Amino acid sequence: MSVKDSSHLHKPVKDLGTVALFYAGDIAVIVMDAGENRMNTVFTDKLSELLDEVEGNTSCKGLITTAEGKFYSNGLDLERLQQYSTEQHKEFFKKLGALLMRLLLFPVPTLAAINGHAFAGGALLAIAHDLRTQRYDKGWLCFNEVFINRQFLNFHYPLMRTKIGSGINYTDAVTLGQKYTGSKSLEKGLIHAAPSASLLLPESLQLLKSFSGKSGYPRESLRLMKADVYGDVIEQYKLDLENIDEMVNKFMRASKL
Amino acid sequence: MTSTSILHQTQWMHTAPGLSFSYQDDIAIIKMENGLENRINNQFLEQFSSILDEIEGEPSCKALITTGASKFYSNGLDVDWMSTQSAHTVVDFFRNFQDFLLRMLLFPLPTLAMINGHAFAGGALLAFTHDIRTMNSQKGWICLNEVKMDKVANPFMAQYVRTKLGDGQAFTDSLVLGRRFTAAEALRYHIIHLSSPLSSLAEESITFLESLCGEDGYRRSTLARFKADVFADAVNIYDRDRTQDKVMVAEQFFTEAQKAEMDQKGPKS
Repeated sequence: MSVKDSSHLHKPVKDLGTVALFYAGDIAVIVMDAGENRMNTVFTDKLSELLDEVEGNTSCKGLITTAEGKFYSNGLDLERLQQYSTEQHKEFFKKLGALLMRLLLFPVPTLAAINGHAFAGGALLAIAHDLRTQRYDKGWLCFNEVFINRQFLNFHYPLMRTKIGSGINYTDAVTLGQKYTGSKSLEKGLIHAAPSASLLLPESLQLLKSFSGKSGYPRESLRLMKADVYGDVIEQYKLDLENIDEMVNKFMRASKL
Repeated sequence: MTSTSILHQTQWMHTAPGLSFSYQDDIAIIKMENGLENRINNQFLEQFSSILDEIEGEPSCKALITTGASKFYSNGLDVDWMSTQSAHTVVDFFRNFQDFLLRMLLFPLPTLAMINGHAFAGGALLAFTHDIRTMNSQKGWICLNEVKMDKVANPFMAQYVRTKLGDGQAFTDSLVLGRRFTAAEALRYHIIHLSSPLSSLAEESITFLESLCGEDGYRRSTLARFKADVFADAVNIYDRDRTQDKVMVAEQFFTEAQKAEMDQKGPKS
Protein backbone atom coordinates (compact mmCIF):
# COMPACT_ATOMS: atom_id res chain seq x y z
CA MET A 1 0.00 0.00 0.00
CA SER A 2 1.27 3.42 -0.89
CA VAL A 3 2.46 5.41 2.10
CA LYS A 4 0.95 8.54 0.57
CA ASP A 5 -2.44 6.88 0.20
CA SER A 6 -2.39 5.74 3.82
CA SER A 7 -2.68 9.35 4.92
CA HIS A 8 -4.46 10.79 1.89
CA LEU A 9 -1.51 12.81 0.69
CA HIS A 10 -2.48 13.64 -2.87
CA LYS A 11 -1.17 17.03 -3.82
CA PRO A 12 2.46 17.78 -3.17
CA VAL A 13 3.34 21.34 -2.25
CA LYS A 14 6.67 20.80 -3.98
CA ASP A 15 7.59 17.87 -6.22
CA LEU A 16 11.24 17.37 -7.18
CA GLY A 17 10.67 14.06 -8.97
CA THR A 18 12.57 11.68 -6.71
CA VAL A 19 11.30 13.35 -3.56
CA ALA A 20 8.24 15.47 -2.76
CA LEU A 21 6.84 17.58 0.06
CA PHE A 22 3.27 17.19 1.30
CA TYR A 23 1.36 18.58 4.26
CA ALA A 24 -0.93 16.63 6.55
CA GLY A 25 -2.52 19.53 8.37
CA ASP A 26 0.40 21.48 9.82
CA ILE A 27 2.82 18.56 9.67
CA ALA A 28 5.21 18.47 6.72
CA VAL A 29 5.72 15.05 5.15
CA ILE A 30 8.70 14.50 2.86
CA VAL A 31 8.27 11.35 0.76
CA MET A 32 11.24 9.85 -1.06
CA ASP A 33 10.32 7.79 -4.09
CA ALA A 34 13.41 6.69 -5.98
CA GLY A 35 13.75 2.97 -5.35
CA GLU A 36 16.67 2.62 -2.93
CA ASN A 37 16.84 6.40 -2.25
CA ARG A 38 20.62 6.28 -2.33
CA MET A 39 22.51 9.33 -1.19
CA ASN A 40 24.57 11.46 -3.54
CA THR A 41 24.87 15.20 -4.19
CA VAL A 42 21.53 15.37 -6.03
CA PHE A 43 19.86 13.71 -3.05
CA THR A 44 21.32 16.14 -0.52
CA ASP A 45 20.51 19.14 -2.70
CA LYS A 46 16.87 18.14 -3.15
CA LEU A 47 16.32 17.33 0.49
CA SER A 48 17.94 20.61 1.43
CA GLU A 49 15.57 22.50 -0.84
CA LEU A 50 12.55 20.87 0.76
CA LEU A 51 13.87 21.57 4.25
CA ASP A 52 14.16 25.24 3.25
CA GLU A 53 10.46 25.15 2.31
CA VAL A 54 9.49 23.55 5.61
CA GLU A 55 11.60 25.90 7.72
CA GLY A 56 10.22 28.89 5.87
CA ASN A 57 6.66 27.85 6.65
CA THR A 58 6.17 29.25 10.13
CA SER A 59 2.84 27.52 10.61
CA CYS A 60 4.47 24.12 10.22
CA LYS A 61 4.60 22.25 13.54
CA GLY A 62 6.53 19.10 12.68
CA LEU A 63 8.35 17.15 9.98
CA ILE A 64 8.08 13.51 8.95
CA THR A 65 10.39 11.93 6.41
CA THR A 66 9.46 8.64 4.81
CA ALA A 67 9.55 6.82 1.48
CA GLU A 68 7.54 4.64 -0.87
CA GLY A 69 8.29 0.98 -1.36
CA LYS A 70 10.94 -1.37 -0.04
CA PHE A 71 13.52 1.16 1.11
CA TYR A 72 13.67 4.15 3.42
CA SER A 73 17.24 4.60 2.19
CA ASN A 74 19.91 2.07 1.36
CA GLY A 75 22.70 4.49 2.21
CA LEU A 76 25.37 6.12 0.09
CA ASP A 77 25.27 5.86 -3.68
CA LEU A 78 28.58 4.02 -3.83
CA GLU A 79 28.28 3.40 -7.57
CA ARG A 80 27.86 7.10 -8.28
CA LEU A 81 30.51 8.05 -5.76
CA GLN A 82 33.01 5.88 -7.65
CA GLN A 83 32.67 8.38 -10.49
CA TYR A 84 33.22 11.42 -8.25
CA SER A 85 36.55 13.19 -8.23
CA THR A 86 38.26 13.94 -4.92
CA GLU A 87 36.76 17.43 -4.99
CA GLN A 88 33.31 16.05 -5.64
CA HIS A 89 33.75 13.59 -2.79
CA LYS A 90 34.64 16.49 -0.54
CA GLU A 91 31.64 18.50 -1.65
CA PHE A 92 29.35 15.50 -1.10
CA PHE A 93 30.59 14.76 2.41
CA LYS A 94 30.26 18.39 3.39
CA LYS A 95 26.70 18.44 2.10
CA LEU A 96 25.78 15.16 3.75
CA GLY A 97 27.27 16.27 7.06
CA ALA A 98 25.40 19.55 6.83
CA LEU A 99 22.16 17.71 6.07
CA LEU A 100 22.51 15.39 9.06
CA MET A 101 23.33 18.27 11.38
CA ARG A 102 20.48 20.35 10.02
CA LEU A 103 18.00 17.57 10.70
CA LEU A 104 19.51 16.95 14.13
CA LEU A 105 19.04 20.58 15.10
CA PHE A 106 15.82 21.30 13.16
CA PRO A 107 13.56 23.89 14.84
CA VAL A 108 10.44 21.70 14.67
CA PRO A 109 10.16 18.12 15.98
CA THR A 110 11.20 15.52 13.39
CA LEU A 111 10.16 11.91 12.85
CA ALA A 112 11.59 9.28 10.49
CA ALA A 113 8.85 6.86 9.46
CA ILE A 114 10.93 3.88 8.36
CA ASN A 115 8.85 2.19 5.71
CA GLY A 116 11.48 -0.34 4.66
CA HIS A 117 15.22 -0.93 4.75
CA ALA A 118 17.36 1.76 6.33
CA PHE A 119 21.00 0.70 5.93
CA ALA A 120 24.20 2.55 6.76
CA GLY A 121 23.78 6.18 5.66
CA GLY A 122 20.03 5.58 5.60
CA ALA A 123 20.12 4.49 9.23
CA LEU A 124 22.16 7.59 10.07
CA LEU A 125 19.60 9.76 8.37
CA ALA A 126 16.87 8.15 10.45
CA ILE A 127 18.81 8.46 13.70
CA ALA A 128 19.29 12.20 13.18
CA HIS A 129 15.53 12.69 13.71
CA ASP A 130 13.93 13.26 17.14
CA LEU A 131 11.59 10.29 16.76
CA ARG A 132 11.51 7.09 14.73
CA THR A 133 8.80 4.67 13.79
CA GLN A 134 9.33 1.53 11.73
CA ARG A 135 7.12 -1.05 10.07
CA TYR A 136 7.01 -3.84 12.63
CA ASP A 137 7.39 -6.68 10.15
CA LYS A 138 9.45 -5.81 7.08
CA GLY A 139 12.62 -3.92 6.38
CA TRP A 140 15.72 -3.68 8.48
CA LEU A 141 17.20 -0.81 10.41
CA CYS A 142 20.92 -1.43 10.41
CA PHE A 143 24.21 0.42 10.85
CA ASN A 144 26.10 -2.05 8.69
CA GLU A 145 29.20 0.03 8.07
CA VAL A 146 31.28 -2.61 9.84
CA PHE A 147 30.29 -5.21 7.22
CA ILE A 148 31.16 -3.10 4.21
CA ASN A 149 34.52 -1.88 5.46
CA ARG A 150 33.29 1.64 5.94
CA GLN A 151 34.06 3.86 8.85
CA PHE A 152 31.91 6.38 10.57
CA LEU A 153 32.97 9.96 10.77
CA ASN A 154 33.89 11.03 14.28
CA PHE A 155 30.76 13.10 14.81
CA HIS A 156 28.53 10.13 13.98
CA TYR A 157 29.49 8.46 17.26
CA PRO A 158 28.18 11.05 19.72
CA LEU A 159 25.14 11.38 17.41
CA MET A 160 24.31 7.68 17.55
CA ARG A 161 25.20 7.35 21.20
CA THR A 162 23.06 10.27 22.38
CA LYS A 163 20.08 8.88 20.48
CA ILE A 164 20.51 5.18 21.24
CA GLY A 165 22.06 5.34 24.69
CA SER A 166 25.42 3.90 25.53
CA GLY A 167 25.44 0.29 26.63
CA ILE A 168 24.60 -2.93 24.93
CA ASN A 169 22.05 -1.55 22.48
CA TYR A 170 24.60 0.94 21.18
CA THR A 171 27.53 -1.44 20.94
CA ASP A 172 25.45 -4.17 19.28
CA ALA A 173 24.00 -1.77 16.73
CA VAL A 174 27.19 0.13 15.90
CA THR A 175 30.19 -2.14 16.39
CA LEU A 176 28.43 -5.38 15.43
CA GLY A 177 26.09 -3.93 12.82
CA GLN A 178 23.07 -5.85 14.05
CA LYS A 179 19.96 -5.52 11.93
CA TYR A 180 16.50 -5.04 13.33
CA THR A 181 12.95 -5.27 12.08
CA GLY A 182 10.50 -2.90 13.72
CA SER A 183 9.54 -5.03 16.69
CA LYS A 184 13.23 -5.61 17.52
CA SER A 185 14.15 -1.95 17.02
CA LEU A 186 11.46 -1.05 19.52
CA GLU A 187 12.89 -3.46 22.06
CA LYS A 188 16.37 -1.98 21.60
CA GLY A 189 15.23 1.59 22.15
CA LEU A 190 16.03 2.59 18.55
CA ILE A 191 12.50 3.62 17.63
CA HIS A 192 9.38 4.83 19.41
CA ALA A 193 6.67 2.74 17.75
CA ALA A 194 6.32 -0.18 15.31
CA PRO A 195 2.95 -0.07 13.52
CA SER A 196 1.80 -2.15 10.56
CA ALA A 197 2.59 -0.87 7.07
CA SER A 198 -0.77 0.74 6.40
CA LEU A 199 -0.74 2.45 9.79
CA LEU A 200 2.89 3.62 9.68
CA LEU A 201 2.21 7.15 8.53
CA PRO A 202 -1.12 7.69 10.32
CA GLU A 203 0.39 6.56 13.63
CA SER A 204 3.52 8.59 13.01
CA LEU A 205 1.38 11.68 12.57
CA GLN A 206 -0.44 10.88 15.82
CA LEU A 207 2.81 10.28 17.66
CA LEU A 208 4.36 13.52 16.48
CA LYS A 209 1.25 15.47 17.43
CA SER A 210 1.19 13.84 20.86
CA PHE A 211 4.58 15.45 21.47
CA SER A 212 4.00 18.85 19.94
CA GLY A 213 0.45 19.33 21.18
CA LYS A 214 -1.88 21.98 19.83
CA SER A 215 0.52 24.88 19.87
CA GLY A 216 3.71 23.06 18.94
CA TYR A 217 7.12 24.00 20.30
CA PRO A 218 8.40 27.57 20.33
CA ARG A 219 10.95 27.24 17.50
CA GLU A 220 13.71 29.24 19.12
CA SER A 221 13.34 27.29 22.34
CA LEU A 222 13.53 23.95 20.56
CA ARG A 223 16.46 25.09 18.44
CA LEU A 224 18.45 26.20 21.50
CA MET A 225 17.54 23.07 23.44
CA LYS A 226 18.76 20.81 20.65
CA ALA A 227 21.97 22.82 20.32
CA ASP A 228 22.55 22.33 24.06
CA VAL A 229 21.65 18.65 24.23
CA TYR A 230 23.65 17.79 21.08
CA GLY A 231 26.52 20.10 21.97
CA ASP A 232 29.17 17.39 21.79
CA VAL A 233 27.96 16.33 18.32
CA ILE A 234 28.32 19.93 17.13
CA GLU A 235 31.82 20.22 18.59
CA GLN A 236 32.99 17.01 16.93
CA TYR A 237 31.35 17.95 13.64
CA LYS A 238 33.36 21.17 13.54
CA LEU A 239 36.57 19.21 14.15
CA ASP A 240 35.63 16.74 11.41
CA LEU A 241 35.15 19.58 8.94
CA GLU A 242 38.69 20.74 9.67
CA ASN A 243 39.98 17.26 8.86
CA ILE A 244 37.80 16.62 5.85
CA ASP A 245 40.63 16.02 3.40
CA GLU A 246 42.03 13.18 5.46
CA MET A 247 38.57 11.72 5.86
CA VAL A 248 37.82 11.85 2.13
CA ASN A 249 41.11 10.12 1.33
CA LYS A 250 40.29 7.35 3.79
CA PHE A 251 36.87 6.88 2.22
CA MET A 252 38.22 6.77 -1.32
CA ARG A 253 40.86 4.21 -0.33
CA ALA A 254 38.15 2.03 1.22
CA SER A 255 36.14 2.28 -2.02
CA LYS A 256 39.04 0.74 -3.90
CA LEU A 257 39.20 -2.34 -1.66
CA MET B 1 -6.87 11.20 53.19
CA THR B 2 -4.08 10.98 50.72
CA SER B 3 -1.21 10.17 53.08
CA THR B 4 0.20 6.70 52.82
CA SER B 5 -0.21 4.41 55.78
CA ILE B 6 3.28 4.79 57.19
CA LEU B 7 3.34 8.56 56.81
CA HIS B 8 -0.10 8.77 58.40
CA GLN B 9 1.28 7.33 61.61
CA THR B 10 4.34 9.54 61.63
CA GLN B 11 4.81 12.33 64.14
CA TRP B 12 5.64 15.37 62.04
CA MET B 13 7.82 18.21 63.22
CA HIS B 14 6.43 21.29 61.55
CA THR B 15 9.39 23.53 61.18
CA ALA B 16 7.68 26.00 58.90
CA PRO B 17 4.35 26.31 57.16
CA GLY B 18 4.36 23.94 54.22
CA LEU B 19 7.41 21.91 55.18
CA SER B 20 7.65 19.25 57.82
CA PHE B 21 9.97 16.46 58.63
CA SER B 22 10.22 13.41 60.75
CA TYR B 23 12.25 10.29 61.32
CA GLN B 24 10.95 6.85 60.45
CA ASP B 25 13.45 4.58 62.16
CA ASP B 26 16.68 6.21 60.97
CA ILE B 27 15.27 7.61 57.77
CA ALA B 28 14.54 11.32 57.55
CA ILE B 29 11.37 12.15 55.65
CA ILE B 30 10.68 15.67 54.40
CA LYS B 31 7.08 16.30 53.40
CA MET B 32 6.24 19.29 51.23
CA GLU B 33 2.71 20.62 51.56
CA ASN B 34 3.01 24.25 50.56
CA GLY B 35 -0.29 25.09 48.92
CA LEU B 36 -1.35 22.53 46.36
CA GLU B 37 1.72 22.72 44.15
CA ASN B 38 4.80 22.99 46.39
CA ARG B 39 6.16 25.82 44.30
CA ILE B 40 9.78 26.73 44.91
CA ASN B 41 10.80 30.21 46.05
CA ASN B 42 13.43 31.73 48.37
CA GLN B 43 11.48 30.93 51.52
CA PHE B 44 11.09 27.30 50.44
CA LEU B 45 14.82 27.03 49.78
CA GLU B 46 15.74 28.61 53.13
CA GLN B 47 13.45 26.37 55.13
CA PHE B 48 14.37 23.25 53.22
CA SER B 49 18.06 24.01 53.66
CA SER B 50 17.76 24.41 57.41
CA ILE B 51 16.02 21.04 57.61
CA LEU B 52 18.89 19.58 55.60
CA ASP B 53 21.31 21.14 58.11
CA GLU B 54 19.47 19.40 60.95
CA ILE B 55 19.47 16.07 59.15
CA GLU B 56 23.16 16.35 58.33
CA GLY B 57 23.80 17.12 61.98
CA GLU B 58 22.01 14.01 63.16
CA PRO B 59 24.60 11.20 63.10
CA SER B 60 22.12 8.34 63.46
CA CYS B 61 20.23 9.34 60.31
CA LYS B 62 21.06 6.99 57.44
CA ALA B 63 18.86 8.13 54.52
CA LEU B 64 16.56 10.89 53.30
CA ILE B 65 13.16 10.68 51.62
CA THR B 66 11.40 13.72 50.19
CA THR B 67 7.77 13.70 49.18
CA GLY B 68 4.75 15.90 48.68
CA ALA B 69 1.21 15.70 49.93
CA SER B 70 -1.78 15.41 47.64
CA LYS B 71 -1.68 16.13 43.89
CA PHE B 72 1.87 17.40 43.42
CA TYR B 73 5.40 16.43 44.31
CA SER B 74 6.28 19.90 43.05
CA ASN B 75 5.09 21.96 40.12
CA GLY B 76 8.37 23.84 39.88
CA LEU B 77 9.37 27.43 40.43
CA ASP B 78 7.05 29.98 42.01
CA VAL B 79 6.76 32.23 38.97
CA ASP B 80 4.00 34.31 40.58
CA TRP B 81 6.27 35.18 43.48
CA MET B 82 9.19 35.82 41.12
CA SER B 83 7.17 38.33 39.12
CA THR B 84 6.66 40.50 42.21
CA GLN B 85 10.33 40.65 43.19
CA SER B 86 13.16 42.87 42.07
CA ALA B 87 15.29 41.61 39.19
CA HIS B 88 18.20 41.35 41.62
CA THR B 89 16.17 39.02 43.86
CA VAL B 90 15.22 36.84 40.90
CA VAL B 91 18.85 36.50 39.82
CA ASP B 92 19.84 35.68 43.40
CA PHE B 93 17.03 33.17 43.61
CA PHE B 94 18.36 31.29 40.59
CA ARG B 95 21.78 31.11 42.19
CA ASN B 96 20.18 29.83 45.40
CA PHE B 97 18.15 27.28 43.45
CA GLN B 98 21.24 26.01 41.66
CA ASP B 99 23.16 25.80 44.96
CA PHE B 100 20.26 23.89 46.49
CA LEU B 101 20.12 21.41 43.61
CA LEU B 102 23.86 20.84 43.88
CA ARG B 103 23.57 20.21 47.61
CA MET B 104 20.82 17.67 47.05
CA LEU B 105 22.78 16.03 44.21
CA LEU B 106 25.82 15.54 46.44
CA PHE B 107 24.02 14.92 49.74
CA PRO B 108 26.07 12.62 52.03
CA LEU B 109 23.14 10.25 52.55
CA PRO B 110 21.24 8.08 50.05
CA THR B 111 18.27 10.13 48.88
CA LEU B 112 14.89 8.99 47.56
CA ALA B 113 12.27 11.18 45.88
CA MET B 114 8.91 9.62 46.57
CA ILE B 115 6.90 11.18 43.75
CA ASN B 116 3.35 11.17 45.05
CA GLY B 117 1.93 13.20 42.15
CA HIS B 118 3.08 15.58 39.43
CA ALA B 119 6.71 16.61 39.19
CA PHE B 120 7.10 19.31 36.55
CA ALA B 121 10.07 21.46 35.52
CA GLY B 122 11.85 22.63 38.71
CA GLY B 123 9.99 19.93 40.62
CA ALA B 124 11.31 17.28 38.25
CA LEU B 125 14.80 18.80 38.50
CA LEU B 126 14.58 18.38 42.27
CA ALA B 127 13.44 14.76 41.89
CA PHE B 128 16.37 14.07 39.56
CA THR B 129 18.92 15.21 42.15
CA HIS B 130 17.95 12.22 44.30
CA ASP B 131 19.66 8.84 44.06
CA ILE B 132 16.38 6.98 43.78
CA ARG B 133 12.96 7.91 42.41
CA THR B 134 9.75 6.10 43.18
CA MET B 135 6.36 7.06 41.80
CA ASN B 136 2.66 6.77 42.47
CA SER B 137 1.47 4.22 39.92
CA GLN B 138 -2.03 5.68 39.90
CA LYS B 139 -1.47 9.36 39.34
CA GLY B 140 1.01 11.97 38.28
CA TRP B 141 3.53 12.72 35.58
CA ILE B 142 7.21 13.46 35.70
CA CYS B 143 8.17 15.99 33.07
CA LEU B 144 10.95 18.42 32.20
CA ASN B 145 8.76 20.77 30.21
CA GLU B 146 11.14 23.72 30.03
CA VAL B 147 11.37 23.55 26.22
CA LYS B 148 7.61 23.99 25.88
CA MET B 149 7.65 27.01 28.15
CA ASP B 150 10.30 28.73 26.06
CA LYS B 151 13.06 28.22 28.61
CA VAL B 152 16.61 27.20 27.84
CA ALA B 153 18.29 24.32 29.56
CA ASN B 154 20.66 25.32 32.29
CA PRO B 155 23.86 23.41 31.40
CA PHE B 156 24.52 22.25 34.98
CA MET B 157 21.04 20.82 35.31
CA ALA B 158 21.06 19.27 31.83
CA GLN B 159 24.29 17.46 32.67
CA TYR B 160 23.17 15.84 35.90
CA VAL B 161 19.89 14.84 34.29
CA ARG B 162 21.91 13.24 31.50
CA THR B 163 24.05 11.33 34.00
CA LYS B 164 20.93 10.14 35.82
CA LEU B 165 18.97 9.14 32.70
CA GLY B 166 21.78 8.05 30.44
CA ASP B 167 21.84 8.83 26.75
CA GLY B 168 19.01 7.51 24.63
CA GLN B 169 15.30 8.12 24.36
CA ALA B 170 14.61 8.81 28.04
CA PHE B 171 17.09 11.69 27.92
CA THR B 172 16.44 13.10 24.44
CA ASP B 173 12.64 12.77 24.72
CA SER B 174 12.70 14.39 28.19
CA LEU B 175 14.90 17.37 27.55
CA VAL B 176 14.50 18.08 23.83
CA LEU B 177 10.80 17.28 23.53
CA GLY B 178 9.64 17.88 27.12
CA ARG B 179 7.99 14.50 27.18
CA ARG B 180 5.88 13.62 30.20
CA PHE B 181 5.99 10.13 31.68
CA THR B 182 3.45 8.26 33.73
CA ALA B 183 4.82 5.95 36.42
CA ALA B 184 4.56 2.95 34.08
CA GLU B 185 6.44 4.76 31.32
CA ALA B 186 9.00 6.15 33.75
CA LEU B 187 9.64 2.63 35.00
CA ARG B 188 10.03 1.30 31.47
CA TYR B 189 12.58 4.00 30.65
CA HIS B 190 14.49 3.52 33.90
CA ILE B 191 13.67 7.02 35.06
CA ILE B 192 12.39 5.61 38.34
CA HIS B 193 13.23 2.52 40.36
CA LEU B 194 9.82 1.59 41.58
CA SER B 195 6.15 2.31 41.02
CA SER B 196 3.41 1.54 43.51
CA PRO B 197 -0.15 2.56 44.41
CA LEU B 198 -0.17 5.48 46.84
CA SER B 199 -1.33 3.36 49.78
CA SER B 200 1.81 1.21 49.61
CA LEU B 201 4.29 3.66 48.05
CA ALA B 202 5.89 4.73 51.33
CA GLU B 203 6.28 1.21 52.63
CA GLU B 204 7.81 -0.04 49.37
CA SER B 205 10.10 2.98 49.10
CA ILE B 206 11.36 2.50 52.65
CA THR B 207 11.85 -1.24 52.12
CA PHE B 208 13.81 -0.55 48.94
CA LEU B 209 15.93 2.10 50.62
CA GLU B 210 16.69 -0.18 53.56
CA SER B 211 17.67 -3.03 51.26
CA LEU B 212 20.23 -0.73 49.63
CA CYS B 213 21.59 0.56 52.91
CA GLY B 214 21.93 -2.86 54.44
CA GLU B 215 22.91 -3.28 58.09
CA ASP B 216 25.54 -0.59 58.28
CA GLY B 217 24.35 1.97 55.77
CA TYR B 218 26.76 4.14 53.78
CA ARG B 219 29.67 5.94 55.37
CA ARG B 220 28.81 9.57 54.76
CA SER B 221 32.24 10.80 53.70
CA THR B 222 32.66 7.93 51.24
CA LEU B 223 29.24 8.40 49.72
CA ALA B 224 29.82 12.13 49.37
CA ARG B 225 33.12 11.48 47.58
CA PHE B 226 31.53 8.94 45.25
CA LYS B 227 28.73 11.31 44.34
CA ALA B 228 31.22 14.10 43.67
CA ASP B 229 33.15 11.76 41.35
CA VAL B 230 30.18 10.26 39.51
CA PHE B 231 28.60 13.67 39.02
CA ALA B 232 31.91 15.42 38.31
CA ASP B 233 30.75 16.56 34.85
CA ALA B 234 27.82 18.41 36.37
CA VAL B 235 29.89 19.76 39.25
CA ASN B 236 32.48 21.14 36.84
CA ILE B 237 29.80 22.95 34.89
CA TYR B 238 28.33 24.29 38.14
CA ASP B 239 31.76 25.62 39.19
CA ARG B 240 32.43 27.12 35.79
CA ASP B 241 29.05 28.83 35.67
CA ARG B 242 29.24 30.04 39.25
CA THR B 243 32.35 32.06 38.60
CA GLN B 244 30.78 33.72 35.59
CA ASP B 245 28.12 36.22 36.45
CA LYS B 246 25.41 34.43 34.55
CA VAL B 247 21.97 35.90 34.59
CA MET B 248 20.92 34.15 31.40
CA VAL B 249 18.50 31.69 32.93
CA ALA B 250 16.95 34.22 35.31
CA GLU B 251 16.43 36.67 32.45
CA GLN B 252 13.98 34.35 30.75
CA PHE B 253 11.58 34.86 33.65
CA PHE B 254 11.88 38.63 33.84
CA THR B 255 8.78 40.79 33.64
CA GLU B 256 9.01 44.02 31.67
CA ALA B 257 9.58 45.89 34.91
CA GLN B 258 12.41 43.59 35.88
CA LYS B 259 14.01 43.93 32.44
CA ALA B 260 13.87 47.71 32.78
CA GLU B 261 15.39 47.51 36.25
CA MET B 262 18.22 45.36 34.90
CA ASP B 263 18.91 47.74 32.02
CA GLN B 264 19.18 50.64 34.43
CA LYS B 265 21.33 49.02 37.05
CA GLY B 266 23.45 46.73 34.91
CA PRO B 267 24.08 43.02 35.60
CA LYS B 268 25.72 43.27 39.00
CA SER B 269 23.76 45.13 41.64
